[in-house]
Amino acid sequence: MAFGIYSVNATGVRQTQKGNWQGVRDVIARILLAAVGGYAVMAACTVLLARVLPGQALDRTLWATILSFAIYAGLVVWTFAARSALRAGAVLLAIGAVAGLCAWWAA
Amino acid sequence: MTLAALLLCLAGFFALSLAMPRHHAALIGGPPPPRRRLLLKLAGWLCLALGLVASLLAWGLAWGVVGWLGLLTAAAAPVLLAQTWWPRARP
Amino acid sequence: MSGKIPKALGFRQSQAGLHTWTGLLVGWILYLIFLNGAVSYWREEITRWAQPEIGVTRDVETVARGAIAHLQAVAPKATTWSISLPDERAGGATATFREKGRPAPRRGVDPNAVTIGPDGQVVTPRDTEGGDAFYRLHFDLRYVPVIWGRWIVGFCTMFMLVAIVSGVITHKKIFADFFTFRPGKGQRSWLDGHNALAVLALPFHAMITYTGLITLMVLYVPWGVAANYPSKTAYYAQSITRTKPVKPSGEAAPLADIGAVLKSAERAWDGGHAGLIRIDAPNDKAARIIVTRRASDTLVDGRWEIVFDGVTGQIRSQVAPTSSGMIARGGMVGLHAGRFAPMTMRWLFFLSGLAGTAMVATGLVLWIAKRRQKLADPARPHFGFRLVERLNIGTIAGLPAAMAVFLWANRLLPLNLAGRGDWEVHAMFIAWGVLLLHGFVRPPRRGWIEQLSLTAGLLLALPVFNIAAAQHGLVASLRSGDTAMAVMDLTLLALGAAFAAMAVGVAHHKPAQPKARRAKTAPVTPKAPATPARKAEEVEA
Repeated sequence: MAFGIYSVNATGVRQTQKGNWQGVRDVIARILLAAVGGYAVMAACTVLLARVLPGQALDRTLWATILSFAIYAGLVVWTFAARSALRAGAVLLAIGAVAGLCAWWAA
Repeated sequence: MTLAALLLCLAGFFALSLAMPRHHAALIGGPPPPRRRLLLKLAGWLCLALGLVASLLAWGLAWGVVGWLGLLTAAAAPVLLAQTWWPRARP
Repeated sequence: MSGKIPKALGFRQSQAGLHTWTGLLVGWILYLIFLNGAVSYWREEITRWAQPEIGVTRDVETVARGAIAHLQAVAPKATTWSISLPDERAGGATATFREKGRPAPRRGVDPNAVTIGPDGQVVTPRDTEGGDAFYRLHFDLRYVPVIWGRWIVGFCTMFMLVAIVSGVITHKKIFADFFTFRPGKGQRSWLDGHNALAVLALPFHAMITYTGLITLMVLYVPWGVAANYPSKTAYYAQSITRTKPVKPSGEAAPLADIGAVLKSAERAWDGGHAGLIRIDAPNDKAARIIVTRRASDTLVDGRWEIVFDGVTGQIRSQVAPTSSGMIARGGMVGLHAGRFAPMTMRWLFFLSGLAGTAMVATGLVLWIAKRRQKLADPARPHFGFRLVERLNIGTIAGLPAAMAVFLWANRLLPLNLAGRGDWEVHAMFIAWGVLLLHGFVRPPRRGWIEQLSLTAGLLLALPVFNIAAAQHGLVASLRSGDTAMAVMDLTLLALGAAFAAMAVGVAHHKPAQPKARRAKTAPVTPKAPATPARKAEEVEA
């Protein structure tokens, strides 16, 4: 099937999992979590860094923004590496909540 | 100086590639003896490091590292091609 | 899976899937971005090639004087004069002015702008975007509002960043396989080629992707700004320090000598060159000459400005980037754009960019090669497979052909055609559209051969046409010492030859015979020609 869920290891040998509905749901959940959730959590981390890093406002802002893409990439990689979509979502939520609270407090 | 940097990187990568059992076997024959392997690795890394020095001399601090990374790419490619086709040319 | 702990294997596996899909979904746009970005390292040369009426600038001062003479004649009472000065790689200067009360012109549409040639006289070159067409295409796209284009490109670049990270994680034997390329083994060769192009230029790919995001970072991630500033305007007020325009006093006074001003600036910048001159209230006692440093002078993309008194020529104030954040960001933008790159470095950047383009292309082809083996019925592949296969043809072979059509249009379109510059670009997209369609209509193998041959033909014929029908061919360039134009024509020939080699490679490739379903023993793979090697060879040579 065109969009069957399977994976390949690094040498290109395919390992088929039983393509089932839960597999697709898991992937879609992770996609949404990574794209939207990851962006939101990254935003919270960026705000936090922009307030907490040393230096003047302009420098803090710029450095935080420069680092934000690395944070986002890391969050996306984690979301797909986590053992389950639920776990990924929980960790994202936790990071986002902590970052958001600290950022609000540091304002 | 740029040429020197490129040649050093070429030498470095060539040495490192020969230190790998697969390429040593293809080019020289048989797995590399441990002592030779160590020597090749040392020589390889040394040449790459000297290549960095040469790049810094050629382009200055700001662009020297960038230039070195570019030369690493430019040097790795011929070594890759050599390892692909040279062994085939041998009987 | 001998002896590996399940978790480690799961991590690599998960990243393998992530890598494939982030690469595939935006692969064709990434190909466009990489290809146009790579040729943009030669933006000034391509613009000069496209405007052969303007020769190469030999003396900036002559050009500056000529610009001022023109502006004195045409708009002595304007509020502001602007002169952009060329560097050694670019052609003419642009001189324009703004009158009081008139709004600033939209980008690209300035009725007051004229081009000043190397001799200081006004020239009217053919209307063309030149290298800027490719440059803008690679981050603004085209035919969509600029902001959409930048968001789409940013989205794809983020996908690319994730593809790089997941690609490195998933590549199990990244060091052991460093020098490995096995031609003639079908899918295995495509994987080796993709790996080689990716790993050998990995520092460049990682740098160009990350710094690409940085160039538009406040657009994509405005949260850093939002954290510390009440509005974007407040942020720009602090980050972009623009010298405020002065009001004319009403008293007339002669303008200071621009040659002396330029020399003064050069001294103040320790040998740096002027790139932009802005004169507020010219011919007035309160006149100011604001000289901005040439972009290609420094790695860091930032504002170096000296404000001169317009009458006496004395320095009144200076500005240089000081904020660590601005310097970091400016440095990253400078790296991306190859600012201040000496010629050898520029060639390394260009070749690395081509390697990146080939990396994307081999990735797309690899996906097809792998899936082809798993097709239940090779004669009737599923929709996704067909879509990817056909898009590959029209993009990997078709887009370079379309870009060559742009250059042809530059030579063939009538000089007095209205909107000529736009029509050159339309020609490129019309050609690309036709070729995409061709890719869907023709059988894949024929499609590849035909499009690769077409690209080769278009590229090879162009320098020949230049010599034969136009006066600005290879021979003329060599004779007049215009090395850049000569090298450009030679590069077009080399690229044409590369595409011809690819076309021949595909023509000689014998497709795998459909084999009976067997157990998981290694299948007999067809002898695929060394196409990825040729590509690698051509781009790295």
